[in-house]
Amino acid sequence: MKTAQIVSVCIGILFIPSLAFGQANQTQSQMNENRLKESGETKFLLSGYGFTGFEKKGDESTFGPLGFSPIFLWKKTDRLFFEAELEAEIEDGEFDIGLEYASIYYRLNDFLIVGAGKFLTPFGIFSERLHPAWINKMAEKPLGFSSETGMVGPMTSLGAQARGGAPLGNTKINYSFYIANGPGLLTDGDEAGKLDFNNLGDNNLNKALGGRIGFLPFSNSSLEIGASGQFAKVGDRESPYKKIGAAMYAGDLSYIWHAKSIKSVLDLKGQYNYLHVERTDYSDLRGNSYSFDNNSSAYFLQVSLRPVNVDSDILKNVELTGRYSRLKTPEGSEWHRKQKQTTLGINYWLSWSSVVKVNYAIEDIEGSDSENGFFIQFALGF
Amino acid sequence: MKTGNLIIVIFTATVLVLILFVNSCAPSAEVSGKPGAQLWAENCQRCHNTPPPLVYDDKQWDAVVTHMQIRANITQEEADKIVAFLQESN
Repeated sequence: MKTAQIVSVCIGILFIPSLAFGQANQTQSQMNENRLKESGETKFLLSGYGFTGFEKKGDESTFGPLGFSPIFLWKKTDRLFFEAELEAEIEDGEFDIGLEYASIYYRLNDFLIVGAGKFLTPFGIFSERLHPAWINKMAEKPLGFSSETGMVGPMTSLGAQARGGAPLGNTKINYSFYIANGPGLLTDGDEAGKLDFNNLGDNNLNKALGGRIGFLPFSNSSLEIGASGQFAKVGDRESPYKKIGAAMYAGDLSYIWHAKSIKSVLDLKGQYNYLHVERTDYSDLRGNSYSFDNNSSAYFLQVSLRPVNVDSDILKNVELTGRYSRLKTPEGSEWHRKQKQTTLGINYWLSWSSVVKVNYAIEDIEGSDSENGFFIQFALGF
Repeated sequence: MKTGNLIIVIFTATVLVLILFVNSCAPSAEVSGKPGAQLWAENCQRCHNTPPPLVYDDKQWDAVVTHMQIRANITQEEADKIVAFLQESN
Protein backbone atom coordinates (compact mmCIF):
# COMPACT_ATOMS: atom_id res chain seq x y z
CA MET A 1 0.00 0.00 0.00
CA LYS A 2 1.37 3.35 -0.93
CA THR A 3 2.14 5.82 1.80
CA ALA A 4 -0.45 8.31 0.56
CA GLN A 5 -3.16 5.64 0.66
CA ILE A 6 -2.21 4.64 4.18
CA VAL A 7 -2.40 8.25 5.25
CA SER A 8 -5.89 8.57 3.72
CA VAL A 9 -7.09 5.45 5.53
CA CYS A 10 -5.57 6.68 8.78
CA ILE A 11 -7.34 10.01 8.54
CA GLY A 12 -10.63 8.22 7.92
CA ILE A 13 -10.12 5.96 10.90
CA LEU A 14 -9.27 8.97 13.00
CA PHE A 15 -12.88 10.15 12.96
CA ILE A 16 -14.49 6.82 13.95
CA PRO A 17 -13.90 7.16 17.72
CA SER A 18 -15.30 10.66 17.77
CA LEU A 19 -18.51 9.48 16.11
CA ALA A 20 -18.80 6.45 18.37
CA PHE A 21 -18.16 8.36 21.52
CA GLY A 22 -20.41 11.15 20.40
CA GLN A 23 -23.25 8.68 21.09
CA ALA A 24 -21.85 7.91 24.52
CA ASN A 25 -21.83 11.59 25.39
CA GLN A 26 -25.51 12.05 24.68
CA THR A 27 -26.16 14.36 27.60
CA GLN A 28 -23.31 16.63 26.65
CA SER A 29 -24.44 16.56 23.02
CA GLN A 30 -27.90 17.71 23.99
CA MET A 31 -26.33 20.58 25.87
CA ASN A 32 -24.28 21.39 22.81
CA GLU A 33 -27.40 21.32 20.64
CA ASN A 34 -29.03 23.80 22.98
CA ARG A 35 -26.00 26.03 22.61
CA LEU A 36 -26.20 25.58 18.86
CA LYS A 37 -29.82 26.77 18.78
CA GLU A 38 -28.88 29.84 20.74
CA SER A 39 -26.10 30.69 18.34
CA GLY A 40 -26.30 31.02 14.58
CA GLU A 41 -25.18 34.59 14.46
CA THR A 42 -21.64 35.20 13.32
CA LYS A 43 -19.37 36.22 16.15
CA PHE A 44 -16.52 38.24 14.77
CA LEU A 45 -13.54 39.91 16.36
CA LEU A 46 -10.65 41.83 14.86
CA SER A 47 -7.84 41.30 17.31
CA GLY A 48 -4.07 41.13 17.03
CA TYR A 49 -0.94 42.91 18.12
CA GLY A 50 1.69 45.39 17.08
CA PHE A 51 5.20 46.21 18.20
CA THR A 52 8.04 48.58 17.57
CA GLY A 53 11.32 49.37 19.23
CA PHE A 54 14.98 50.20 19.12
CA GLU A 55 18.00 47.94 19.10
CA LYS A 56 21.75 48.33 19.34
CA LYS A 57 24.10 45.48 18.46
CA GLY A 58 27.83 46.08 18.47
CA ASP A 59 28.44 49.46 16.85
CA GLU A 60 25.16 49.42 14.89
CA SER A 61 21.87 50.81 16.10
CA THR A 62 18.45 51.16 14.50
CA PHE A 63 14.81 51.75 15.24
CA GLY A 64 12.79 48.62 14.64
CA PRO A 65 11.84 45.97 13.94
CA LEU A 66 8.26 47.10 13.50
CA GLY A 67 5.38 44.68 13.26
CA PHE A 68 1.61 44.71 12.82
CA SER A 69 -0.32 41.45 13.02
CA PRO A 70 -4.11 41.70 12.74
CA ILE A 71 -5.96 38.55 13.79
CA PHE A 72 -9.41 37.76 12.42
CA LEU A 73 -11.70 35.50 14.44
CA TRP A 74 -15.05 34.29 13.14
CA LYS A 75 -17.24 31.95 15.15
CA LYS A 76 -19.83 30.99 12.58
CA THR A 77 -21.75 28.50 14.72
CA ASP A 78 -21.12 26.79 18.01
CA ARG A 79 -19.02 24.21 16.16
CA LEU A 80 -17.54 26.11 13.24
CA PHE A 81 -14.67 28.54 13.71
CA PHE A 82 -12.20 30.37 11.49
CA GLU A 83 -9.05 32.21 12.49
CA ALA A 84 -6.43 34.02 10.44
CA GLU A 85 -3.46 36.25 11.11
CA LEU A 86 -1.65 38.54 8.73
CA GLU A 87 1.88 39.54 9.53
CA ALA A 88 3.34 42.81 8.25
CA GLU A 89 6.85 43.62 9.38
CA ILE A 90 9.73 45.98 8.72
CA GLU A 91 13.01 44.35 9.64
CA ASP A 92 16.55 45.12 8.50
CA GLY A 93 15.15 47.93 6.37
CA GLU A 94 12.84 45.68 4.38
CA PHE A 95 9.05 45.45 4.39
CA ASP A 96 7.51 42.01 4.38
CA ILE A 97 3.91 40.85 4.59
CA GLY A 98 2.64 37.32 4.92
CA LEU A 99 -0.12 35.04 6.01
CA GLU A 100 0.93 33.71 9.40
CA TYR A 101 -2.01 31.33 9.65
CA ALA A 102 -5.53 30.79 8.29
CA SER A 103 -7.48 27.74 9.45
CA ILE A 104 -11.02 26.44 9.62
CA TYR A 105 -11.96 24.33 12.64
CA TYR A 106 -14.92 22.10 13.37
CA ARG A 107 -15.69 20.78 16.84
CA LEU A 108 -16.77 17.17 16.41
CA ASN A 109 -17.40 16.59 20.10
CA ASP A 110 -16.23 17.91 23.45
CA PHE A 111 -12.89 16.17 23.12
CA LEU A 112 -12.04 16.55 19.46
CA ILE A 113 -11.62 19.58 17.21
CA VAL A 114 -10.47 19.06 13.64
CA GLY A 115 -9.04 21.79 11.47
CA ALA A 116 -7.36 22.46 8.14
CA GLY A 117 -5.35 25.26 6.63
CA LYS A 118 -2.13 26.97 7.55
CA PHE A 119 -1.63 26.78 11.29
CA LEU A 120 0.91 27.47 14.01
CA THR A 121 2.55 24.09 14.40
CA PRO A 122 1.85 22.34 17.69
CA PHE A 123 5.49 21.44 18.09
CA GLY A 124 6.44 22.53 21.59
CA ILE A 125 4.79 25.64 23.00
CA PHE A 126 6.77 28.59 21.66
CA SER A 127 5.34 28.76 18.15
CA GLU A 128 1.72 28.23 19.15
CA ARG A 129 1.47 30.09 22.43
CA LEU A 130 4.45 32.29 23.25
CA HIS A 131 5.74 33.96 20.09
CA PRO A 132 3.43 37.05 19.84
CA ALA A 133 5.36 40.14 20.85
CA TRP A 134 2.99 41.06 23.69
CA ILE A 135 3.27 37.51 25.14
CA ASN A 136 6.98 36.90 24.52
CA LYS A 137 8.73 38.22 27.62
CA MET A 138 11.77 39.28 25.60
CA ALA A 139 12.18 41.63 22.63
CA GLU A 140 13.80 38.88 20.58
CA LYS A 141 12.86 35.25 20.06
CA PRO A 142 15.18 32.57 21.48
CA LEU A 143 18.05 31.22 19.38
CA GLY A 144 16.77 28.58 16.97
CA PHE A 145 13.17 29.76 17.22
CA SER A 146 13.23 32.49 14.57
CA SER A 147 14.10 32.74 10.90
CA GLU A 148 16.83 35.26 11.80
CA THR A 149 18.86 32.69 13.75
CA GLY A 150 17.63 29.63 11.83
CA MET A 151 14.70 27.44 12.76
CA VAL A 152 15.26 24.15 14.57
CA GLY A 153 11.69 22.95 14.18
CA PRO A 154 8.56 24.17 12.38
CA MET A 155 6.80 27.45 13.14
CA THR A 156 3.80 27.04 10.84
CA SER A 157 2.51 24.18 8.70
CA LEU A 158 0.06 23.73 5.86
CA GLY A 159 -2.15 20.72 6.40
CA ALA A 160 -4.79 19.34 8.74
CA GLN A 161 -4.91 18.70 12.43
CA ALA A 162 -6.94 17.04 15.19
CA ARG A 163 -6.71 18.28 18.76
CA GLY A 164 -8.42 18.45 22.09
CA GLY A 165 -8.14 18.36 25.82
CA ALA A 166 -9.77 16.37 28.57
CA PRO A 167 -9.85 16.19 32.35
CA LEU A 168 -8.38 13.13 33.99
CA GLY A 169 -9.31 13.19 37.66
CA ASN A 170 -7.39 16.07 39.16
CA THR A 171 -5.11 16.27 36.14
CA LYS A 172 -5.59 17.15 32.48
CA ILE A 173 -4.26 15.78 29.23
CA ASN A 174 -4.25 17.41 25.83
CA TYR A 175 -3.18 16.42 22.36
CA SER A 176 -2.55 17.91 18.92
CA PHE A 177 -1.79 15.76 15.89
CA TYR A 178 -1.24 16.98 12.37
CA ILE A 179 -0.44 15.96 8.84
CA ALA A 180 1.24 18.60 6.70
CA ASN A 181 3.35 19.23 3.64
CA GLY A 182 6.39 19.28 5.89
CA PRO A 183 9.80 20.84 5.37
CA GLY A 184 11.96 20.57 2.28
CA LEU A 185 15.68 19.79 2.16
CA LEU A 186 18.01 22.46 0.77
CA THR A 187 20.81 20.75 -1.14
CA ASP A 188 22.73 23.55 -2.87
CA GLY A 189 25.23 26.20 -1.87
CA ASP A 190 26.12 27.16 1.64
CA GLU A 191 22.76 26.04 3.03
CA ALA A 192 23.06 22.41 1.89
CA GLY A 193 21.54 20.12 4.49
CA LYS A 194 19.35 22.79 6.04
CA LEU A 195 15.59 22.35 6.18
CA ASP A 196 13.25 24.88 4.59
CA PHE A 197 10.21 25.10 6.85
CA ASN A 198 8.42 27.48 4.47
CA ASN A 199 7.64 24.57 2.19
CA LEU A 200 4.14 25.71 1.30
CA GLY A 201 3.99 23.75 -1.93
CA ASP A 202 4.94 20.17 -1.12
CA ASN A 203 8.23 19.11 -2.71
CA ASN A 204 7.40 15.40 -2.65
CA LEU A 205 4.54 12.91 -2.23
CA ASN A 206 5.36 12.28 1.40
CA LYS A 207 3.53 14.16 4.13
CA ALA A 208 4.91 15.11 7.51
CA LEU A 209 3.25 13.57 10.55
CA GLY A 210 3.60 15.23 13.88
CA GLY A 211 2.02 16.14 17.12
CA ARG A 212 2.27 17.07 20.74
CA ILE A 213 0.93 15.54 23.93
CA GLY A 214 0.64 17.76 26.98
CA PHE A 215 0.04 16.77 30.59
CA LEU A 216 -1.03 19.05 33.43
CA PRO A 217 -0.46 17.10 36.65
CA PHE A 218 -1.87 19.67 39.09
CA SER A 219 -5.56 20.54 39.47
CA ASN A 220 -4.80 24.29 39.24
CA SER A 221 -3.20 23.87 35.76
CA SER A 222 -0.01 25.58 36.99
CA LEU A 223 2.35 23.01 35.46
CA GLU A 224 2.30 21.65 31.93
CA ILE A 225 4.86 19.36 30.41
CA GLY A 226 4.75 18.39 26.76
CA ALA A 227 6.46 16.11 24.25
CA SER A 228 6.38 16.64 20.49
CA GLY A 229 7.61 14.86 17.39
CA GLN A 230 7.52 15.23 13.63
CA PHE A 231 8.59 12.79 10.91
CA ALA A 232 8.87 13.39 7.17
CA LYS A 233 10.72 12.69 3.98
CA VAL A 234 12.27 16.00 3.04
CA GLY A 235 14.04 15.56 -0.32
CA ASP A 236 12.61 16.71 -3.64
CA ARG A 237 10.58 14.07 -5.45
CA GLU A 238 12.74 13.84 -8.58
CA SER A 239 16.10 14.30 -6.86
CA PRO A 240 18.69 11.89 -5.49
CA TYR A 241 17.61 13.10 -2.05
CA LYS A 242 14.02 11.84 -2.32
CA LYS A 243 14.50 9.13 0.33
CA ILE A 244 16.14 11.40 2.89
CA GLY A 245 14.06 11.61 6.03
CA ALA A 246 14.05 14.00 8.95
CA ALA A 247 12.91 13.45 12.50
CA MET A 248 12.50 16.17 15.08
CA TYR A 249 11.57 16.08 18.72
CA ALA A 250 10.76 18.65 21.36
CA GLY A 251 10.14 18.75 25.07
CA ASP A 252 8.51 21.72 26.75
CA LEU A 253 7.70 23.00 30.19
CA SER A 254 5.47 25.72 31.58
CA TYR A 255 5.06 26.49 35.27
CA ILE A 256 3.28 29.30 37.11
CA TRP A 257 3.93 29.73 40.81
CA HIS A 258 2.19 32.22 43.07
CA ALA A 259 4.91 33.04 45.59
CA LYS A 260 2.76 34.48 48.37
CA SER A 261 5.73 35.23 50.63
CA ILE A 262 7.04 37.79 48.11
CA LYS A 263 3.60 38.71 46.70
CA SER A 264 4.75 37.73 43.23
CA VAL A 265 4.05 35.42 40.35
CA LEU A 266 6.93 33.37 39.01
CA ASP A 267 6.60 32.24 35.39
CA LEU A 268 8.93 29.53 34.10
CA LYS A 269 8.98 28.46 30.45
CA GLY A 270 11.31 26.21 28.50
CA GLN A 271 11.59 24.20 25.32
CA TYR A 272 14.21 21.90 23.84
CA ASN A 273 14.19 21.10 20.10
CA TYR A 274 16.28 18.40 18.43
CA LEU A 275 16.42 17.86 14.69
CA HIS A 276 18.00 14.98 12.78
CA VAL A 277 18.27 14.71 8.99
CA GLU A 278 19.55 11.44 7.52
CA ARG A 279 23.16 11.61 6.39
CA THR A 280 23.80 12.11 2.69
CA ASP A 281 26.34 13.67 0.34
CA TYR A 282 26.21 17.29 -0.80
CA SER A 283 28.36 19.26 -3.23
CA ASP A 284 30.19 22.39 -2.17
CA LEU A 285 30.58 25.49 -4.37
CA ARG A 286 33.66 23.95 -6.05
CA GLY A 287 31.82 20.71 -6.83
CA ASN A 288 33.52 18.62 -4.15
CA SER A 289 31.39 16.07 -2.34
CA TYR A 290 31.09 16.20 1.43
CA SER A 291 28.78 14.98 4.15
CA PHE A 292 28.23 15.51 7.86
CA ASP A 293 26.13 14.30 10.78
CA ASN A 294 23.10 16.51 10.28
CA ASN A 295 21.91 17.09 13.84
CA SER A 296 20.78 20.45 15.23
CA SER A 297 19.47 21.48 18.59
CA ALA A 298 18.14 24.61 20.23
CA TYR A 299 16.68 25.32 23.60
CA PHE A 300 15.68 28.10 25.94
CA LEU A 301 14.83 28.41 29.59
CA GLN A 302 13.06 31.57 30.66
CA VAL A 303 12.02 32.88 34.04
CA SER A 304 10.09 36.00 34.99
CA LEU A 305 8.99 37.44 38.29
CA ARG A 306 6.26 40.04 38.74
CA PRO A 307 5.14 41.33 42.17
CA VAL A 308 1.47 41.54 41.20
CA ASN A 309 0.19 41.51 44.78
CA VAL A 310 2.20 44.38 46.26
CA ASP A 311 0.41 47.60 47.17
CA SER A 312 2.45 49.89 44.92
CA ASP A 313 0.68 50.57 41.62
CA ILE A 314 4.02 51.09 39.91
CA LEU A 315 5.87 48.11 41.35
CA LYS A 316 3.08 45.64 40.59
CA ASN A 317 3.49 46.39 36.89
CA VAL A 318 7.24 45.75 36.87
CA GLU A 319 8.46 42.35 35.70
CA LEU A 320 12.01 41.04 35.92
CA THR A 321 12.95 38.57 33.20
CA GLY A 322 15.85 36.33 32.33
CA ARG A 323 16.41 33.83 29.54
CA TYR A 324 19.18 31.45 28.57
CA SER A 325 19.14 30.23 24.99
CA ARG A 326 21.43 27.97 22.99
CA LEU A 327 21.72 26.92 19.36
CA LYS A 328 23.90 24.27 17.79
CA THR A 329 23.89 23.39 14.10
CA PRO A 330 25.87 20.57 12.41
CA GLU A 331 29.65 20.61 12.49
CA GLY A 332 30.97 20.11 8.98
CA SER A 333 28.13 22.00 7.36
CA GLU A 334 28.57 25.39 5.71
CA TRP A 335 26.05 26.80 8.18
CA HIS A 336 27.63 25.41 11.34
CA ARG A 337 26.92 27.64 14.30
CA LYS A 338 27.40 27.23 18.01
CA GLN A 339 25.88 30.10 19.88
CA LYS A 340 24.57 30.87 23.32
CA GLN A 341 22.76 33.90 24.61
CA THR A 342 21.85 35.19 28.03
CA THR A 343 19.20 37.90 28.09
CA LEU A 344 18.22 39.98 31.09
CA GLY A 345 15.35 42.39 31.08
CA ILE A 346 12.87 44.61 32.84
CA ASN A 347 9.32 44.86 31.55
CA TYR A 348 6.77 47.46 32.52
CA TRP A 349 3.11 46.58 31.90
CA LEU A 350 0.97 49.54 30.85
CA SER A 351 -2.13 47.34 30.63
CA TRP A 352 -2.82 43.61 30.67
CA SER A 353 -1.63 43.35 27.03
CA SER A 354 0.68 46.36 26.59
CA VAL A 355 4.28 46.21 27.66
CA VAL A 356 7.54 48.11 27.38
CA LYS A 357 10.56 45.80 27.45
CA VAL A 358 14.15 46.76 28.10
CA ASN A 359 16.59 43.91 27.41
CA TYR A 360 20.32 43.38 27.43
CA ALA A 361 21.58 40.28 25.61
CA ILE A 362 25.02 38.75 26.13
CA GLU A 363 25.98 36.59 23.17
CA ASP A 364 28.72 34.05 22.72
CA ILE A 365 29.26 32.79 19.17
CA GLU A 366 31.98 30.16 18.72
CA GLY A 367 34.68 31.26 16.27
CA SER A 368 33.22 34.69 15.78
CA ASP A 369 33.17 38.08 17.43
CA SER A 370 30.27 38.17 19.80
CA GLU A 371 28.04 41.22 19.79
CA ASN A 372 26.06 42.02 22.89
CA GLY A 373 22.76 43.73 22.25
CA PHE A 374 20.53 46.32 23.86
CA PHE A 375 16.83 46.32 23.00
CA ILE A 376 13.80 48.41 23.80
CA GLN A 377 10.45 47.15 22.57
CA PHE A 378 6.91 48.42 22.94
CA ALA A 379 4.34 45.70 22.28
CA LEU A 380 0.59 46.03 22.35
CA GLY A 381 -2.06 43.33 22.05
CA PHE A 382 -5.56 44.42 21.06
CA MET B 1 7.28 -2.89 6.09
CA LYS B 2 9.11 0.27 5.11
CA THR B 3 10.23 2.60 7.87
CA GLY B 4 7.98 5.40 6.60
CA ASN B 5 4.89 3.18 6.67
CA LEU B 6 5.82 1.85 10.09
CA ILE B 7 5.98 5.41 11.42
CA ILE B 8 2.54 6.12 9.95
CA VAL B 9 1.04 2.98 11.51
CA ILE B 10 2.57 3.73 14.94
CA PHE B 11 1.55 7.36 14.71
CA THR B 12 -2.03 6.51 13.77
CA ALA B 13 -2.29 3.86 16.48
CA THR B 14 -1.08 6.40 19.04
CA VAL B 15 -3.64 8.94 17.85
CA LEU B 16 -6.48 6.40 18.03
CA VAL B 17 -5.53 5.11 21.46
CA LEU B 18 -5.20 8.63 22.77
CA ILE B 19 -8.54 9.77 21.36
CA LEU B 20 -10.26 6.67 22.78
CA PHE B 21 -8.57 7.36 26.11
CA VAL B 22 -9.44 11.04 26.13
CA ASN B 23 -13.08 10.32 25.28
CA SER B 24 -13.38 8.18 28.38
CA CYS B 25 -11.81 10.76 30.70
CA ALA B 26 -13.73 12.44 33.49
CA PRO B 27 -12.86 15.18 35.98
CA SER B 28 -12.73 14.76 39.74
CA ALA B 29 -15.43 16.37 41.85
CA GLU B 30 -12.93 19.06 42.87
CA VAL B 31 -12.19 19.98 39.26
CA SER B 32 -15.78 19.78 37.97
CA GLY B 33 -16.89 22.04 40.82
CA LYS B 34 -14.58 24.89 39.84
CA PRO B 35 -16.36 28.13 38.93
CA GLY B 36 -15.67 29.98 35.68
CA ALA B 37 -13.81 32.77 37.46
CA GLN B 38 -11.27 30.35 38.86
CA LEU B 39 -10.81 28.60 35.52
CA TRP B 40 -10.40 31.97 33.77
CA ALA B 41 -7.63 32.94 36.21
CA GLU B 42 -5.87 29.57 36.10
CA ASN B 43 -5.90 29.01 32.34
CA CYS B 44 -5.19 32.47 30.89
CA GLN B 45 -2.05 32.98 32.95
CA ARG B 46 -0.52 29.78 31.60
CA CYS B 47 0.58 31.92 28.60
CA HIS B 48 -0.25 35.58 29.24
CA ASN B 49 -1.76 38.09 31.65
CA THR B 50 -5.39 37.54 32.51
CA PRO B 51 -7.64 39.86 30.48
CA PRO B 52 -10.33 41.81 32.35
CA PRO B 53 -13.92 40.80 31.45
CA LEU B 54 -14.74 44.35 30.32
CA VAL B 55 -12.42 44.37 27.31
CA TYR B 56 -14.83 42.44 25.03
CA ASP B 57 -18.58 42.07 24.63
CA ASP B 58 -20.51 38.79 24.85
CA LYS B 59 -20.09 37.74 21.22
CA GLN B 60 -16.44 38.72 21.14
CA TRP B 61 -15.72 36.67 24.26
CA ASP B 62 -17.30 33.64 22.61
CA ALA B 63 -14.92 34.00 19.64
CA VAL B 64 -11.87 34.78 21.80
CA VAL B 65 -12.35 31.81 24.13
CA THR B 66 -12.80 29.45 21.16
CA HIS B 67 -9.54 30.84 19.75
CA MET B 68 -7.86 30.19 23.10
CA GLN B 69 -9.47 26.76 23.47
CA ILE B 70 -7.82 25.69 20.23
CA ARG B 71 -4.49 27.34 21.01
CA ALA B 72 -4.09 25.97 24.54
CA ASN B 73 -6.25 22.83 24.25
CA ILE B 74 -8.40 23.76 27.23
CA THR B 75 -11.33 21.42 27.75
CA GLN B 76 -14.84 22.13 26.48
CA GLU B 77 -16.23 22.24 30.01
CA GLU B 78 -13.61 24.81 31.00
CA ALA B 79 -14.22 26.90 27.89
CA ASP B 80 -18.00 26.92 28.49
CA LYS B 81 -17.59 28.02 32.11
CA ILE B 82 -15.03 30.69 31.25
CA VAL B 83 -17.27 32.19 28.54
CA ALA B 84 -20.26 32.18 30.88
CA PHE B 85 -18.24 33.93 33.59
CA LEU B 86 -16.86 36.59 31.22
CA GLN B 87 -20.28 37.26 29.69
CA GLU B 88 -21.78 37.67 33.15
CA SER B 89 -18.98 39.95 34.31
CA ASN B 90 -18.49 42.35 31.40
